[in-house]
Amino acid sequence: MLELINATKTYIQGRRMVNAVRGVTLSVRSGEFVTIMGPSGSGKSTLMHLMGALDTPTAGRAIFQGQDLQSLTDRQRSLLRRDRIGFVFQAFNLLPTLTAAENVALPLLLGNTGRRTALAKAADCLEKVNMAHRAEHFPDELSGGEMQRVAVARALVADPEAVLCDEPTGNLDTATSREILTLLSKLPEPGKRAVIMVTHDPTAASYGTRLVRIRDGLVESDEPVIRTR
Amino acid sequence: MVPSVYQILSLRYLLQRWDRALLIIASIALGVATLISARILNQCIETAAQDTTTPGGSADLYVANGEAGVLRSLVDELRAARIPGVKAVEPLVYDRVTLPGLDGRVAVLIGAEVSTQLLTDDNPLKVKVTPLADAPRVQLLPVLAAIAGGDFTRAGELWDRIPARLVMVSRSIYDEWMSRGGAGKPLTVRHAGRDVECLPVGIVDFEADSPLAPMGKNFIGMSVTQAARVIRPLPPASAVLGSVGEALAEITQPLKVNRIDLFLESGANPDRVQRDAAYVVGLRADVRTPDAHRRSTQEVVSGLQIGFLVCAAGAMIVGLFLVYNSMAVTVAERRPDIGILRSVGATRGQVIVVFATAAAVLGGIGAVLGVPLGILLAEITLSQFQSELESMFLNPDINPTRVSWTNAVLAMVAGVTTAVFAALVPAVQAASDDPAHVVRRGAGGIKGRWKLVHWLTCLVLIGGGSALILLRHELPARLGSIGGMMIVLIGLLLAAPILVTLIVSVFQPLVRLLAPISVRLAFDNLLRAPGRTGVVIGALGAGVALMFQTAGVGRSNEEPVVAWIQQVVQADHFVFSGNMTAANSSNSPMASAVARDIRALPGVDRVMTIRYARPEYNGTIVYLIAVDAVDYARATRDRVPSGLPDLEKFLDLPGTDNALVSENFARRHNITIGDTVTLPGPNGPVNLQVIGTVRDYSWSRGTVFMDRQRYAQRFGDDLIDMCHVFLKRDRAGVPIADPDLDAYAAAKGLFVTDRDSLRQFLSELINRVYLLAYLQQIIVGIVAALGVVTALLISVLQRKRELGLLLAVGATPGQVLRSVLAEALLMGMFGTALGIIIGLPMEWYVLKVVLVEESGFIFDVVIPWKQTAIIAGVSITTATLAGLLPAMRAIQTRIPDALQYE
Repeated sequence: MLELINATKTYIQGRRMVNAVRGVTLSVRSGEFVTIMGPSGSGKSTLMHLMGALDTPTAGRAIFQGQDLQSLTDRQRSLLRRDRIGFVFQAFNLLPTLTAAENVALPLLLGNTGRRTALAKAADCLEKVNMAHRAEHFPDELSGGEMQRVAVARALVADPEAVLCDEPTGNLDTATSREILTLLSKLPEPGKRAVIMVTHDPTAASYGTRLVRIRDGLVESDEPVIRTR
Repeated sequence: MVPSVYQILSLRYLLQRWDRALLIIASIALGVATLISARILNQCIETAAQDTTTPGGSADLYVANGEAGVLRSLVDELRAARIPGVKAVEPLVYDRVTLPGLDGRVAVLIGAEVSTQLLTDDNPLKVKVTPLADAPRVQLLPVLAAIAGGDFTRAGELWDRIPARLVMVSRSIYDEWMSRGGAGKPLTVRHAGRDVECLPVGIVDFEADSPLAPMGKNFIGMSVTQAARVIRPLPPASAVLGSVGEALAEITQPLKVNRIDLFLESGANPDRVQRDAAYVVGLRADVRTPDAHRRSTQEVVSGLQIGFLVCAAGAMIVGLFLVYNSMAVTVAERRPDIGILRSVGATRGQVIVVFATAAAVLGGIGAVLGVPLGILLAEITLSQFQSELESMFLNPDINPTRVSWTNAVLAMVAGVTTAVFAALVPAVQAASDDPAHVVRRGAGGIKGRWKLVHWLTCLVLIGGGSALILLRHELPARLGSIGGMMIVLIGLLLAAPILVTLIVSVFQPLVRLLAPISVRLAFDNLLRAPGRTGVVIGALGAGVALMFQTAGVGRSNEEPVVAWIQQVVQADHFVFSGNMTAANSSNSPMASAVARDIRALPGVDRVMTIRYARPEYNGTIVYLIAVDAVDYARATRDRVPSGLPDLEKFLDLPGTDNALVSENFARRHNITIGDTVTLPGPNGPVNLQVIGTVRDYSWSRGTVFMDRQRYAQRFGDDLIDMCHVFLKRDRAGVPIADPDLDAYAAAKGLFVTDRDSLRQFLSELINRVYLLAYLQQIIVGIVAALGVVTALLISVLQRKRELGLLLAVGATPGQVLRSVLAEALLMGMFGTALGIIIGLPMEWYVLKVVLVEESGFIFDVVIPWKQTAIIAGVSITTATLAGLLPAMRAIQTRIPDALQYE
């Protein structure tokens, strides 16, 4: 479903050239919960951005459902993200002026979905993450865990084929982290959806079904997770 | 050591944020440019006006009657009185002349005595005379002998007796005369259509600080008596009768000079001399100090000057707010830097200096760029009124490019001060933050006490300005009416963020319900950053308000003024000397014989002549229009049989000292029917009895109408400025063209125009006055548009993460572009709405308070719908277009970078 073939990403940071990802080949199938681990600066977030069409590789290919992402226009990649990929970020990234329900409905509102339909779907998603009672609250009225639940609901609202999470528990306490990870671990569905999560926390990684370790922009190891819990 | 720290901290950052720095520079440059242009225009107009009313003004006291002039015989009386402390009594004659041999070039004829004023090395006029080698020395020998003997009075008398009119000319005229083969030929000088042949005998060069330097290029110097006779020649009969006739003419038409200068000995008491001289001249003239002499001219030009300065101040204030805006965001963006600085021991003062340094550098660069831009702006403005200005003033040279050191320094100080002042508020706010707070990056938004300061400042400004307006009658002129209005405007501009918060809060529920998400986000953003957006909306509002007010005032007086023009411009043809503009001034007169000649033409039914004068009255300069009253009333009545009740009043003017005054004259000077208006005449005060008022828009200080024949007697001035020619008509009432009129005018070097052309010219002239006002206000609009660019660049910066998120969750670049443009559009709409809301009461205030108090004109308030639609369209479009650059930048954002942005 999601594939990187010999993907390389080089960018300029200040006055130096950074080789964030160096010829990585990786394939993710639906139903998988892939966690990507690595130390700071290892290139794990860049890897996720390439898979999520947030960025394009400098060399190599990034493929989503058989479609080469580089061959798409900027607009086509936007529509792909809107309709087929969901994102969850460490810093929640909710718009402060929108209510929880509106934040969730945002990808639909950006499309052609009517306001009423979009909010109805958002309400369903909030229900799924146990946040229905906070639908009309603004982000600054929510706790960190609640905000991240809303972010998860937003990632799901378009019923995407991939949910990409960048350190989703990085700003949360242990108990809340556990709740979010449990929620995320229920999302993968064979033939329908995969979840890819970047983390540096081994406990979080243990929620996945497959663990990819990254170091210096290269895949160090790629193995299934043996559940001990 | 210390400066290098600031250099590293401030300037390097500016180089990184060059686009924002550029916008600050542009804002300051435009503000400084309007200030410089206003200063140049004001100086040009004041110098030209003062040089017109007081050319060559270097004396300690003046004996004058305004434009009417004083009797030459007063000079002898003053000399004979031997007033203690008076060093010299010098008569002066001046007027405009043309030089037909030099393509009608305009020159200024100055008649002065050949005396200490010209011929000594340290003469008070600071001129250097170089005798021409081919001058007729034989005729000059007695004069030179008298000068050598130190008897300048005798030299002057001898000079006057030389039959040839000997003149000294400026080098520019001499060179042009010579280039046209002038050597050995007379130089013809034309005044009021009469040609006088003169012989150049010397070239005059002026020192830079000579009081005559402004007319240095166009100077023609002549003996005072001969100059006076060029301007007011003796009747032809006196020449026929010889010396007896001349003696008789001297009695019936005594020699007049424009003014008599009194030079005092060092240490003399001017007050005492003034008193003694006033005793000698009695009621026949005023004895004044230079300050008092200039006051009435200053009163007239100061209205225009204040208009320019208000616009310039407006641009500077708008610029100030926009620099504040940019600096506020810079401070917000550099909060981590401030935290680091504070944590490593920087004092609050040092933090402030970091930002003040950056602002000072940008302000300085903006000011340097603003000076040439200001000169350009002044030149464009003056070029719009080139012919009017050339005709209006004595000296046709109005040089806008002279930027004095004072102006350059003022520009630098204004630019730097504005920028530093604008930076101080955010800098002080930043420095007042608790260091720990800043390091945690948690500090943000305006603290409660700053909000309070903001509210209080707005209240004080609006309240204070309103108080000044209410107390305007107790305060110096214009301080309350115009100063108060400006302060209220500044207060409203400062209060714009509060107003924007209120308006956005009111509309927000509706927008949330109905607007698409991109508009909704843009709308929300206005509320999130009212300080940033409010300032720009306020600036835009200020520009729109000024333009609305100008359009409203223009529209309100358009109809009555056009109706008035239709009434007074009724003749079939108009004959004048010079050009159409000069026809409405007294600068290019004609001999009254012209009217007699035209009346004799077979196709002419009636001729009405006009002479304009600008006497002083009640501390200002009013218009005196002398007309052939009966001809005016009868001819106009023939053309407009109904209405115009004012017309019949003109029939009561001939043969009396009766006068009509314009309605604005009566209002401004508190005159009612039956009152006496006393104007200075050459023989002393002339008392005119007011028998009625008429509607007239000729002059903002008021107009007095009297019969021209009576005027010629009372003021010793038989010249005319314009002939209204009414042609005979056929049975159908259609005027029959008279080719003889054109032929006559061509033969006399006069100009003829028809009714439609004159009406069109007057309408265009009025339109150009408004164009001038718009030109300055457009600058305010441009500065405001720059503010929109700044605000949106800042918005994009502040929304970087939000916009990145939108892109991440699938917003197309077009949607993000629309969201940023929607914010620009909303700012444009709010700014325009605010401008119209403020502009309407401003229009009322200008029409009903400022204009009434300044000029006495009363107009109904008319809302300029069409112009409002245009202004709103331009304002909203400009604001939206200003959002393009930031919007483009927004969609070029790299999503991962945006998401990590804090």
